[in-house]
Amino acid sequence: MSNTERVDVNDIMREIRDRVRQRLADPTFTNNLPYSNLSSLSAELRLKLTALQAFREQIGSLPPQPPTLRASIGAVISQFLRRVLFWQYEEARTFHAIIADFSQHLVSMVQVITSDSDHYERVQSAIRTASARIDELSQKVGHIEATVCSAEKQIQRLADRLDSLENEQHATQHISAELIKVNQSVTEALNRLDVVKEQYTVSTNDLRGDIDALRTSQILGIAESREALSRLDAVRQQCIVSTDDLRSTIDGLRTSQIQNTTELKEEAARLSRYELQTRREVVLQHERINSLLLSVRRRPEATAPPNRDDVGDDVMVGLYLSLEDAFRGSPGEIRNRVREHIPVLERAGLKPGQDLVIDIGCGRGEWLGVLTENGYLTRGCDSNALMVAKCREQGLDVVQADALQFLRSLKEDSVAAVTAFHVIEHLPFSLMLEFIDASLRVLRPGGILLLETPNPQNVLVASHNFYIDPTHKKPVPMILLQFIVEARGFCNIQPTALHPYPETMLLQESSDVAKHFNEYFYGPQDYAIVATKP
Amino acid sequence: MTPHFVPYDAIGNDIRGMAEHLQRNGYRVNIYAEGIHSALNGTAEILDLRRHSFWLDRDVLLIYHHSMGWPLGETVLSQARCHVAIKHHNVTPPVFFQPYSEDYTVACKAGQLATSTIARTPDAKFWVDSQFNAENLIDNGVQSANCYVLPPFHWTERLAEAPLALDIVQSCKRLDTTIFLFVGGIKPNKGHARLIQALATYVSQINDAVLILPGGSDPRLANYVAGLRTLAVQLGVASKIIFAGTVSDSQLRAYYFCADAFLCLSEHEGFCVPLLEAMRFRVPVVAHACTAIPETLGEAALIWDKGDLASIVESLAICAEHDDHRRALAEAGCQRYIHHYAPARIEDKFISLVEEAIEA
Repeated sequence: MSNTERVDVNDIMREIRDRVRQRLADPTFTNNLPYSNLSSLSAELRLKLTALQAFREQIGSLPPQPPTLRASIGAVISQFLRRVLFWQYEEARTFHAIIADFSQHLVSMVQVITSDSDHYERVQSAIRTASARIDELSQKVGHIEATVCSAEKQIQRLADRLDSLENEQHATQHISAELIKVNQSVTEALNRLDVVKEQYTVSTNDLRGDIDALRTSQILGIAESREALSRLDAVRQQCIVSTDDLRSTIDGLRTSQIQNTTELKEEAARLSRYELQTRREVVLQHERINSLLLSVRRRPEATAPPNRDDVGDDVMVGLYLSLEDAFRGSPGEIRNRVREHIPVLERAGLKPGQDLVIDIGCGRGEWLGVLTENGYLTRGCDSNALMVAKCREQGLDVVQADALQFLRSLKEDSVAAVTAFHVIEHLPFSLMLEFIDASLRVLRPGGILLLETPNPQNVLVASHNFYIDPTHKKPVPMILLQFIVEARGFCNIQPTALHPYPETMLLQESSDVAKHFNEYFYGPQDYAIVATKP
Repeated sequence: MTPHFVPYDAIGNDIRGMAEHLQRNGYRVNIYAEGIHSALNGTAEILDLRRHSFWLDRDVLLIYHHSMGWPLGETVLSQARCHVAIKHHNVTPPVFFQPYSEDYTVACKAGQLATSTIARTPDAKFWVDSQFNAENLIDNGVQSANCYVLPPFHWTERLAEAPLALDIVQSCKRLDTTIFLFVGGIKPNKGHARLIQALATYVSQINDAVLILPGGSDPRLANYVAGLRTLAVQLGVASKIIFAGTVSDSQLRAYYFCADAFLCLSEHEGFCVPLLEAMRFRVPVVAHACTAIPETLGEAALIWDKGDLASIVESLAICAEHDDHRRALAEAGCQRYIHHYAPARIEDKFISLVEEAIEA
């Protein structure tokens, strides 16, 4: 509890009364203005006397200077009447009232003076007593004077110190006054703060209410979230089940897709075979038409009875193309096969763009096309007009001619390489020798002869596949061709077995019988010979 | 209705406070006066018997502010058919003005006669600033049951919102002495002579001090002012009295801020609004028991018998020298203001009296 709260107004008034009694009881209390009611009465008297004097000056005074003669006459009459009837007018009564009031105060003052006379007597007695005491003390002053001189110096120093202390005290008082003012302003600020505090209390209560509401909504939200999570979990489970179902479905679809793909492939193969068959029929029809045309043109010339085993060249031209398409393999497959011979050319030192490669029996032009892709200079030769036409459609440089005639038409040592894929098996042995000789002539030194032919060491090739082409004469075993080529003057003979059956066709047994069987039945179907002209 | 509608006047503030509060409560209010200060143009109308007849409307409540003789107003009251409430602000006895001004004396006498006249207004409700004023009406024949004490509306809160006039604060600070304050017009009933005497006694007995007297003076009372200055010279305190004259709200606020004590030795007060201001601004009040002063202050001030100069001077010394006592008195005054004179309390009581007067 602060001092402010403990102090009561009545307590303060009691304290004041005590102080007043002390002051009035002090016999040494003397001042120019005695501490009594006399001074206040005296002040009132003076004030009223001043007013009385001022009012007295106004009695009988004329009104302000009149502007007209009539007003002037009236003013004079008024003045006369005022003076004659002065005592009958209200001013007189008022003046009397004031005089009476003034007199009353004078009487009161006299009464006060009278009541104060006793106090004056007591004061006089005290003064007389004090005078006697002073006489006694004066004798002792002489003794004290000696010590006073020595003390004066100390007093001077103390006085100086007091001066500085007084200065400090003034400063302290000044600061105290400042602090008081600050205290007042702080108190006012505190009052304002109380108001603000009430406002904040209200705001705080509102905020608490809002927080409670938010908390409640949050709890509700959490509960709702949990429900939502439960629902999501159920949905997740459903999704898992659905995913499993979907996977099963996908697996089923994949299986059906594989089946469909297989069926589609089978269908595609069937359609491809149908297409080949259809082409074959078209070619046959075309050959029949050509043969009929030729027969119409050649009539009535007699001709030797045909060899039942020979087929007319006109017929073979179209038929052979169909045979190629049906049994040789697609041009793309052949191109992939023959592409593996390009490194042979590279190892032989042939330079693309410079060296000429002659391809005898170029057929559909697969080898020529590969050579062209790799930048080699090429020239082909085939006796089949349709083959030649097909090659020329591809932009290849092909001549329709007999192989030997074509070779013999070339200059000696003018060709970097002579190639013949599946040609020599079409030649009788004597023509094969001539072919080899002709190739040797046209090749430059270091040029190469590349021959590919079916491999009769493969039983299926020798017994079945070789005879699919009716123009084949005899299979040429690899050792025979090696011998011949070397005998006719080539060197550096390099045979290469080619095109074995796929491994899926091999017997999967590990026995010797299976091994030999696979070697003779599913081994290389073709072989190639690379020979170099010395 | 009021004879003269002027600003910075207790009656004028009471009228304006009533009008504003009535308007806030949905009432339509018009103010009529015979004289209107230019600062209040537009807020009131000049009363004209030829143009106005509101007092004949039974749905009207006429609040008549009585403080002086007003023949025009008394005529309206005599013809009134409407509800009538008379706010009696008390009339200063003419004896105070007799030495100084015939005009004031005549007006006060007329006012006293008017009091006895309006006291006989039939079916009127009488609202008074204080019980002291009520007793004045009762002495004139009004039934005590028809008298209701309603403290006047005051502008103390608006005064509190005014910024401090820093020049006043600085000048008071430069005085570097105790400051006593009394706020009120320089009129004989305000007891300025007693104030000057108290100051002189304090300066001679206790310590140095200054008495600041904000308040305007009427030229018709020039003799009174001259007498005060003469008294001050004779008592040797002429340089310690500051007649501040009419001041603004900011300046008055600054004087309250700087004052160490508020000294009220008025000879006649019907309520004394400056006492509220002193209590509101935590200035300890020293006064003597005279007319309505003790009723306004209650037990929140140091109140002595009229003429007990010794106790008054000691009270001033207590306020100047004892911080604890000064704070206790300031707190007591502030609490009394809050509990008795806060605007909300006056407004509530006023509205209840208005409704009662309308229903009557």
